[in-house]
Amino acid sequence: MVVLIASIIQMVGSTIRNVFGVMVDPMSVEFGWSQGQIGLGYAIGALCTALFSPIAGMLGDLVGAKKAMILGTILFLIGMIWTANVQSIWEFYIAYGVVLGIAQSIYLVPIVPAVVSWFKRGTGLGTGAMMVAWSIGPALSIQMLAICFELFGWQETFLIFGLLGTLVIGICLFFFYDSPEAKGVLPYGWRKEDGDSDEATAGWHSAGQKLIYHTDSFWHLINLHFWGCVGHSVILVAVIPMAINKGLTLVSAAGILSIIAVVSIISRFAAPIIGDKFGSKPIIFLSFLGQGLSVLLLLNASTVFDFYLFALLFGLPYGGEGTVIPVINKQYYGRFPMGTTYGWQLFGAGIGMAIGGILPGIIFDITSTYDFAIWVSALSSIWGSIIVLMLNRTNKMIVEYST
Amino acid sequence: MERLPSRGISMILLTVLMSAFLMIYIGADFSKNRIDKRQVSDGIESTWWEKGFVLVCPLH
Repeated sequence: MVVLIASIIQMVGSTIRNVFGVMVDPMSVEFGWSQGQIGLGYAIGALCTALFSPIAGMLGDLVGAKKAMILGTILFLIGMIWTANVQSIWEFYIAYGVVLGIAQSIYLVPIVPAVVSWFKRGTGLGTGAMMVAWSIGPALSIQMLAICFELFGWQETFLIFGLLGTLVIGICLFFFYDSPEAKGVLPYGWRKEDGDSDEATAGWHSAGQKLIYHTDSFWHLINLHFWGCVGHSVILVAVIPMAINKGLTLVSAAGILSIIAVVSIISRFAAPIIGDKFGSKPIIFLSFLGQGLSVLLLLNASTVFDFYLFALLFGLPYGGEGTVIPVINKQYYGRFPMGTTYGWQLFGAGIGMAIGGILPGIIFDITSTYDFAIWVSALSSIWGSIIVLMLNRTNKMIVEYST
Repeated sequence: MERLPSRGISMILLTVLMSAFLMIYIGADFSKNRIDKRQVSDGIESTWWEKGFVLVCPLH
């Protein structure tokens, strides 16, 4: 139940960014803004989400995920209604970029640690199911958005999704509890020998968080999130123009992203389960290394088969790369509230996505080829895999909470 | 007294330095490319950020 609720909330949260691709043209026609001006709104939103992630995590730890998400929902409603009524580009930057950017970080960050805290065992299965919903959700919502845009226009679509999203999240939050302790039940996978006391029952405390800050792995996890996201965002942004540049049609080129999306669902589900059962470090290492090495296939890719083979080999490690992180957090830090820690990790990821998204276009403008961008992507992921080797082993917790 | 996570922090610093170096190098290359193209076609002066990138990068 808690996984289902979290999946729905994340699905609504991810709609904020999915809507962007569909609204560029209508906004451009109505206001006469260039694609670059509208694109800046997306960049501001992505940056606000990244910068606000640690704060969203702290908020979740201090007041609880449920209360944090009530605040997120208020911001979501304001942002959606305001965006539907914008009259100037600056208003658009504030409404869509800043307000919805912050709302998205509140939807994405505190919920994942809250779900993980519901599990004493079987964290991998819960995380895997949530991550699959996270990737299927956008595929469904983008179609619904496109239909609504056609039927009602972009302003009404924003209003409808704003009100509908608020209603859906409101209902979900009514049934949501921050932790099993808040509901007065035992965590999933609890056994008699575990006893009735747990490190999570003490709640978040600054001394515990300080202990986490003092581990090398806390910093390594932010760092490798950054490199992993640079590695795949370069590819996600550039692979279609790259393929078209080599003579593929737009439809064939779009198939590359579809294959990556479908294949990555398998590893998004499987990687947390494997990580939970056999240790997260090897699976994260293999995902980073696989992501980096598979990208090198693009250097000589020229046919549809070459690109689709790449998509198949890239999709698997790409899907498994980030989804094990909530599991490794649990293995290192137990059931201590993880919002702040996870927020800092998503901060690294967000900055990596922003840098990796900008690089390929600039590199192509300079060199008229994507080869250098491919090398940047490959080396980023391989460097990330080296950082993974510096992580602690996952067979026991690396902090001891004294309270 | 608690141990400082020196390895983790130094790897983060290395990331910041590598990113800054990459940004300066690519930015300078991009700027030089734009400046060269313009000089050939119409001789318009460089902008402040183009001059800045080329000035800061030791390899350009």
